[in-house]
Amino acid sequence: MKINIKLLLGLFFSISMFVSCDLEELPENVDIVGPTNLADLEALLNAGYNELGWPLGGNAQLYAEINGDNIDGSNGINSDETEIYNRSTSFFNNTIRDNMYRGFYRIVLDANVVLGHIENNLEALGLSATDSRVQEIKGEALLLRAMAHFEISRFMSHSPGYSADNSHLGIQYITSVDNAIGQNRGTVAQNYENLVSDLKEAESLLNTTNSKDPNYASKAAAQAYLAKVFFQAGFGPDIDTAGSNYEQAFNYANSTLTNTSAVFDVNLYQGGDTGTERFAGNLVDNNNTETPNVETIFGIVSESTANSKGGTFGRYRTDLAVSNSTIRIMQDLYNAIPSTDKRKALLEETDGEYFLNKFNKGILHVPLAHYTELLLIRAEAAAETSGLSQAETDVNLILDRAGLSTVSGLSKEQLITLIRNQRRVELLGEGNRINDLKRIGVSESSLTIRNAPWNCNGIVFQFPATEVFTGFIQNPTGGCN
Amino acid sequence: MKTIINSLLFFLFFAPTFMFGQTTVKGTVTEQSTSIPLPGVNVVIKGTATGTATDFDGNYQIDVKKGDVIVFSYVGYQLKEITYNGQATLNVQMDEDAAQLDEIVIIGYGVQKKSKILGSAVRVNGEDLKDNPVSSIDAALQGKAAGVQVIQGSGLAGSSNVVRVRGISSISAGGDPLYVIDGIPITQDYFLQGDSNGQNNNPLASLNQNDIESIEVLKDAAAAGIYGSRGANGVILIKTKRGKEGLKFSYTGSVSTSDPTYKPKVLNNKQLLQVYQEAWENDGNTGLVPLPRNISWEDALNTNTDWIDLVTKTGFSNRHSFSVNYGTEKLKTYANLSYDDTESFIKNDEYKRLSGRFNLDYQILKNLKIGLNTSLTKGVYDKVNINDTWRNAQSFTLPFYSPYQDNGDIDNTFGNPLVELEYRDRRSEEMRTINSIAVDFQPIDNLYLRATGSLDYMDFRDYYWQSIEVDRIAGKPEEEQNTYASANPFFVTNYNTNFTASYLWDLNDKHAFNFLLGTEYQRSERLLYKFGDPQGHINSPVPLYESDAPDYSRESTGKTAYSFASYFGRINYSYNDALDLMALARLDGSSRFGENNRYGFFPTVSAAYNFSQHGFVANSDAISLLKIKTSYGITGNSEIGNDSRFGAYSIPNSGTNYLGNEYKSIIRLDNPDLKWETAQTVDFGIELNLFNNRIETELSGYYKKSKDVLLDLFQIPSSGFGESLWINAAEIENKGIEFNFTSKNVVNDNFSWTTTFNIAHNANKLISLGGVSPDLLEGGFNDTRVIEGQPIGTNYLVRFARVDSTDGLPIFLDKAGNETKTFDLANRVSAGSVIPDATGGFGNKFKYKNWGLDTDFVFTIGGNIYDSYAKRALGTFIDGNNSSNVRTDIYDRWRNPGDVTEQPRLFHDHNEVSGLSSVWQYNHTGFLYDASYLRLRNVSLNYTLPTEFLNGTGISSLKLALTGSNLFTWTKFPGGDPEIARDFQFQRDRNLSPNVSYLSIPQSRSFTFNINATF
Repeated sequence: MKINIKLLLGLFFSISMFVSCDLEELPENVDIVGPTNLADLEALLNAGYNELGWPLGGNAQLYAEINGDNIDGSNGINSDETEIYNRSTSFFNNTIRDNMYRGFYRIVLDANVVLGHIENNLEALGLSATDSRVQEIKGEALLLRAMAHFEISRFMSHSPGYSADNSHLGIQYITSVDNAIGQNRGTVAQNYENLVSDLKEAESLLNTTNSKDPNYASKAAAQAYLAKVFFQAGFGPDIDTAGSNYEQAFNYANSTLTNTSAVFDVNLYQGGDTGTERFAGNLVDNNNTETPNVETIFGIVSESTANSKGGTFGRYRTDLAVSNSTIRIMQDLYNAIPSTDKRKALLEETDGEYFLNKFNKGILHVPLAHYTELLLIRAEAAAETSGLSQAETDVNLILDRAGLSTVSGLSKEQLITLIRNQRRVELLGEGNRINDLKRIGVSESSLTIRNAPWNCNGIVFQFPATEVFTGFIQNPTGGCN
Repeated sequence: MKTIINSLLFFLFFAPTFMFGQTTVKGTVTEQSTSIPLPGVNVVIKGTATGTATDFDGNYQIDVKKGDVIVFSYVGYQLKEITYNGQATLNVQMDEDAAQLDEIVIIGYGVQKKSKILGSAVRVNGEDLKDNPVSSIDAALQGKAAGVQVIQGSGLAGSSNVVRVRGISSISAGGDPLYVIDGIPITQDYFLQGDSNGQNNNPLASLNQNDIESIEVLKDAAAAGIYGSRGANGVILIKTKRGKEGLKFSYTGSVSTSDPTYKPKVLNNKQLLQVYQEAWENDGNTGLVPLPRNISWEDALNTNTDWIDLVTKTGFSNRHSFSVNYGTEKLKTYANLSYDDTESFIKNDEYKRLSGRFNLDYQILKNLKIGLNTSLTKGVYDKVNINDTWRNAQSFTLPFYSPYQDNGDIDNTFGNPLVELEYRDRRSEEMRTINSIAVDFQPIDNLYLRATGSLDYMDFRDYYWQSIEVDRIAGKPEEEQNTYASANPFFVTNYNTNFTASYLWDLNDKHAFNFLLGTEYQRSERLLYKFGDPQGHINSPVPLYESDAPDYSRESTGKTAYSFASYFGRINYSYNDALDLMALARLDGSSRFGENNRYGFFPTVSAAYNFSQHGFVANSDAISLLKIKTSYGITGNSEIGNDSRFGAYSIPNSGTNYLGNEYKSIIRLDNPDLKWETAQTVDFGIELNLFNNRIETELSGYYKKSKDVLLDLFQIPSSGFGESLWINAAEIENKGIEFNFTSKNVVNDNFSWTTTFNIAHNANKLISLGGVSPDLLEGGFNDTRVIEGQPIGTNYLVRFARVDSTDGLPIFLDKAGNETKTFDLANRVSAGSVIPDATGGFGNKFKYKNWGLDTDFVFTIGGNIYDSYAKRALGTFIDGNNSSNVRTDIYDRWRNPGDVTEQPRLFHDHNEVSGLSSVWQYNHTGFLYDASYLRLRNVSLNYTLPTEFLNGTGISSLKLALTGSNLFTWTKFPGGDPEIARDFQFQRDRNLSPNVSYLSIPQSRSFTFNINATF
């Protein structure tokens, strides 16, 4: 019996050896420690830059075009896109809308993670708030945060001026990392206040040339986005006390063009060996041997297949077999471009359908703010604020490059119409047109977009079903057909 | 062989002439309730020394005279005396002796007197599985036990079943019961390969049906409570066979066919063209309707492809299993080698499995025993993407499409199933070994110690290959043509140790105690890999499982693990063999839980009272048993991700730089409060046996309230997080009632007839979502929701009211219930009934001499099926190149003013339905169908050759069986098999979408011929 008891104890002991109380299993496929130094912080910021390619690698630009009047959606678009084309996005299950929406807020999150660490955790990173690189990183994160909010707000809400005091609903402007259950929508007035505030702070913190890599954000990038934001606010109530919206748009466009290292590209549309393209790239989709176009103030860089951005622009490609998913361009737009215009070569006609060959690339860089766009903003903002000669000078650069005759002595209205038409052609496929129309509608209440009132409900997207919690106000539907 | 036939003929014709005075009687002794043969039963002629014992298969023979009394005796069974009246065969059934049920048996944890097992457990014996090969052994539970809902895997060869014990009480965490094989909680991950086109991994795939001794389902807290934080969804205990005394070889072999229970009824070319044309004209168009893919009408009229026929076949399967039992008094072994080749009715879908098992028990000392189990299985599953074959064949591939181009190549410009069948190769290979060692030691009387250690290792590899032909037929230039080959491995190691000490203490005749103390530790580790090539695939002329290319291939991405430790104790008290009380407690800790909730406490109490000693039972002729029982317990569910509690950032990896710099991003925030979900259950049961236990009934009811139910919150998109967030928030209520009935209608030496019946009703309700928006749980699939006050997974649909007989347009109801012709998703409401009113089964077992006939029916009463594809098959079917074929029931549609019908007119353009933004949004209650069905699950005819026929053949028993499965189904559901076995996208989908059908793969209708021989 004694032996048995010993045996029992021995057995019990040996079994207990197996039973460990330490139930800590640390995962190895993720980093659970978080950033510990400057390089980590830079890597977190770099994620935000990298994610730009998710919504802005062609998706957002394409959906904006489909929403507008440049694309003939009777063929070439899928069922989710048809909802956008018909201006009846459902709040439920529009996968492409959901995906783009999520993509923009992913950038916001990445930016907020960086800003959160700068706010609360610098000591653990061995950094100080006054370090110049920390200042710059903060500026970059603020710019990314504002950019993403600005872009998504243009899909989800009407332009400033839709209501007299911008009290109409905008989007949630997210400034913290912890947002699992969502927050209510701000008004457009609040959104633009946040945008201007973030962008101005970014402008003050950013360097003329980014100290890490010139392709990252510079001061001019923040100024360009300020110009875009004020320009979009256009005919609405002034969003800043420093001046009218168009004055501010003019000022920031002017500062951008003055400060940026980007230059007006005279070789654009010229063809041949010296001709350049805005979406610079290669036909074969391995490494991109082209550098971004010289006009690029800020943009997405596609270096190699392993991390190629801008794939969605491939939907336009005419050098591949045209299929029922190739995007078609409106006939009236094609017809409106005179044959002397060098930019007409960007369009092709096949069997009575019209296509855009601007993106015939296997891999391409995606400019998000470029010299031509800012030049046209400066021109139109100048015209709106009676700086007619500046407007004329700027638009003549564009006309001349396109092989068209320059203009002089036009009235304000004539100039504005001309500049708007130039914007439509210059920025075709870049997702600009619908936002111009939504802006212009504020001053031209009878404006229609493909036969629908510019301010009809369905022109703004429905929020994804997953965003809508009890108390969240969804966009109203209908009114466009 | 000739000898066998000769002896068969000889006995058949001449056996009757051999009967005279002193004769030899033969027979088989079986256990009365289970029909399992009893070996070692003493058979003696009363008042003489003449005696024998039954052999391994319960067979005996003895010389006897008419009028002799033969006495059968066996420990634990009632003595049986039978007066011999001259028959040649005397089969005997023996009843368990209630008074002798003091046998000590090993239960979930510890040991227990057999008579004292409390709680609701349902048991299916291996014997019952023998004649009917099933794809996955849990299928054998279907229809057998009230409250255990088994939705059979589809007809696919590697399909897994969905088992739900007493309703659905989880939302996001796994709702499947815990599977324990020989005491080991096995690796159980249905989404091991992600959603893999909805073809879920089957954790039981490696189990060989012939190895199963018994399967037990623990339903209530009294039974499952000891499993603590893992017992909330029930526990399924599977025991494999162990050696017995003697030497026996046995062989089981079967061949079977497989066909679908439902053949899609879709239109042929001319019918479909007519329907398209009608839709075109309905929309106000004239001329011939332009056809998808710009096909000309002339070609369309001359092309009629039967796509279903191209993707299906009759599947043939064969299974062979050979086992050896060898046992002495001290050493007992069981070994088995099996080979199965299962083909389904879908082309290129085949599962092959080779498995071996060796179980050994060795009695080292009188009080020390060692047991060893080991099994090794290699499973190879050749599979197809069912979207590309079965689903496309009845939807997007239209009858007027030709599978081939003019030059004879397969046409790759649409979802042609032939591309999948001919040019793609998908396979998963699983190597799995489950091993355990157990030591039983009894140091002093009544003290039973048991220690087990086990290892469950799985090596799982998923292969994909695409032929160069795909690029060729797609028209790529020759130099750009490529093959795609990839391999993705998973390695899971799961080990488990536990130790229990039981002490049985009989204070005196009246008071008896059973104490248990135990501890358990489990750790499971999965090594994570990605395919080594940054592209995710490489160029290879053959699939990589055939390639001897060097280690192409994998790059470690770390590992994920969980560990689990428990301490538990249990006290049973029994008074006067009438009252039984039990209390248990379990303390569970898991690495999956947040640091603030690392350990959980799970107690259970139960009581039972047997009225046998009371006069009204003891003196009653009618009542033979009356017992009431009740229990209350708290169990848990911890089936969540191993790492969900950790705040985490991604690890930069080499291939993914931006501007030449690494990037890393946040994955999720820290979640220190994450914990198990808990279920509080109250059970009540009454067992009543009548007429000398000829009729056995059991009625039980339960109320189960689940709290802190885990939700994997689809984080609001504006949070930016791509990953869902696990929180403990919801409350769910399940209540139900179950009834089991068994009647031995006829018990005779030559003829017996047993009827079984069970039925269960479960009501399920979401009480609270804890303030979470239901849409955050929306997974984007299947239009089911969790809505407070509604059952889990309620259908969320626009209400369809009727068809306007003047213009054929559909009329819907808005939220307020007013009729509207505008389809608006804002008008969706919770609709239909996910949960059937009742489910159950009934069966009859007939035995006449050597013949047996078994029938098993399963049924569902009430509830709805949502046919999620009807929006295309009956609704808005024309969508450019994604136009769909339609079902023949579209012939009931509205055509002319005045037609009164449930089906609206045809539309060419979905915009004809006002407000409908896309063909895919057209979900409404018009596509909800009655889910009731009755199905003849199995009918099996078997014949056991009389032992005398086998004399001299070396075969000691031979049984033949012919089984038909799913031969008949009665249902009103037009869209497919009413027994929906969708495979699911993720755990939540498995819980939430049980009644949604989407071109689901039907069950298989099969015939099986089975032969079972022992030597």
